[in-house]
Amino acid sequence: MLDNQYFTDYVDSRTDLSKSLDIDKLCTLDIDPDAFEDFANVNRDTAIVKWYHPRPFLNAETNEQAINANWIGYNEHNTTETNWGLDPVHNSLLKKLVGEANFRKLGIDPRQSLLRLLEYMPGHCLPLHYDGMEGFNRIYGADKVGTRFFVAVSKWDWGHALQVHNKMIANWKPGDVYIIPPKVFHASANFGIRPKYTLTITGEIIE
Amino acid sequence: MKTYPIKADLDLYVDPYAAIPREIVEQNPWHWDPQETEHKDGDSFLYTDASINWFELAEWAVAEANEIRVPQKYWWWDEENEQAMHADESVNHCPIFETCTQWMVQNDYNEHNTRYFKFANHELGAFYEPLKAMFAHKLEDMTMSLFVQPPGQTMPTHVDTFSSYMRKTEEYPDYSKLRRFMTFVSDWDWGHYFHYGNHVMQPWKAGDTWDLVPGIYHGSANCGVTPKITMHWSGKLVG
Repeated sequence: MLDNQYFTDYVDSRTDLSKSLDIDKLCTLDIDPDAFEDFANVNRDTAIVKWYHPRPFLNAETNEQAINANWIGYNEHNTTETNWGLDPVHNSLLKKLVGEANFRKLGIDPRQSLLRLLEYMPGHCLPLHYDGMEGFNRIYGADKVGTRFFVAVSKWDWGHALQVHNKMIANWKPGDVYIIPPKVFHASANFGIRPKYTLTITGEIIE
Repeated sequence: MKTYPIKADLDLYVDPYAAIPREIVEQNPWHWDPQETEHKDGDSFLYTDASINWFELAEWAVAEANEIRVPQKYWWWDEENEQAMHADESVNHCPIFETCTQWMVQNDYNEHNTRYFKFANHELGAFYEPLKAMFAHKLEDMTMSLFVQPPGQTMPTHVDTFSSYMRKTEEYPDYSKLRRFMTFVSDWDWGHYFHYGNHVMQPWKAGDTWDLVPGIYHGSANCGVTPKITMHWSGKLVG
């Protein structure tokens, strides 16, 4: 039986999908998608490979979302993600690939930002959730208020999708940026036949 | 934490066009460019049907799925016999085969991320006749299927090759005459995705009905909370 009452209650108690939210493209960064894909392949052995489930270093809200997702069928076979960026060396290399000019465009300090390069293979998704910002706050301090940017890296391809509240984001170009507002539910999927590369950049807006 | 390794080398340039039967691409020319912005991929919306109580059908379908518990349909690769499998049926002889190898040999689609419940034709019970009436005047040798896609599952991108119709008629399809229509049985909800070529359908209402023009690459996924339910009619266009 699809016992989705807990997840449904969780979502319904926090938001209302019938109320529209404007999620407009912020800007387009000047990035080289091939450089990020090369980075992924060169650093594959040191990537974090994880699937969506509760973990002890995440906060209670994030873990409750993961428990709810696992309860209705999300598992290692449909939520596996490969990512780079929590390792300080990776984070530094990724910042160089993004470049100073792009950080200025976003209005954040690269020295106070966390980057994650995400690789989603076909057949895998990131279930509905909102961000806990645990990684960013662990590194830069619990008092920091990070802004989460979604950056498209690979060209949009069939089956690549991001949903932020009621807005479907697709047909993107490399470098396209959208802000994921705090506590706003979002999800993404790759049901195509080519890998999907995206960046999340989290930083405090300084200008 | 490490999970299992990927099946094949990553390939940014897998070419879906190469896997589509030649007669389909020749009879139904399409742009085959995910970056194309000047397209008409979203133009085949027909209408929002009100002849069926879609809410009742959705409730019935979910109750049936919960009764069965195990989705009848899923895609997997039989390593030992090198066969593309749809549940317990090999599709090596079917025109979907090459696309299946892109899904399951070049990528990691398997029995865990492609599961869905299917209720076909008379399995639709009391809904059979009214659903049949929707397209009986448009399609000959019509087959009907209702799909319930649970959260976490995908229908990988593909072009319709009408395998069920092949099974019914025992003929290789004449793609110039075949057609598929689709209706969303439940309202759009969190994580319910359906792309039709470069057009991403959203938000939809129960009863929204589309003419799935042949030869357009499409797929769907559910990374939300509730099941996604769609109804499909396939057959030969009348006249």
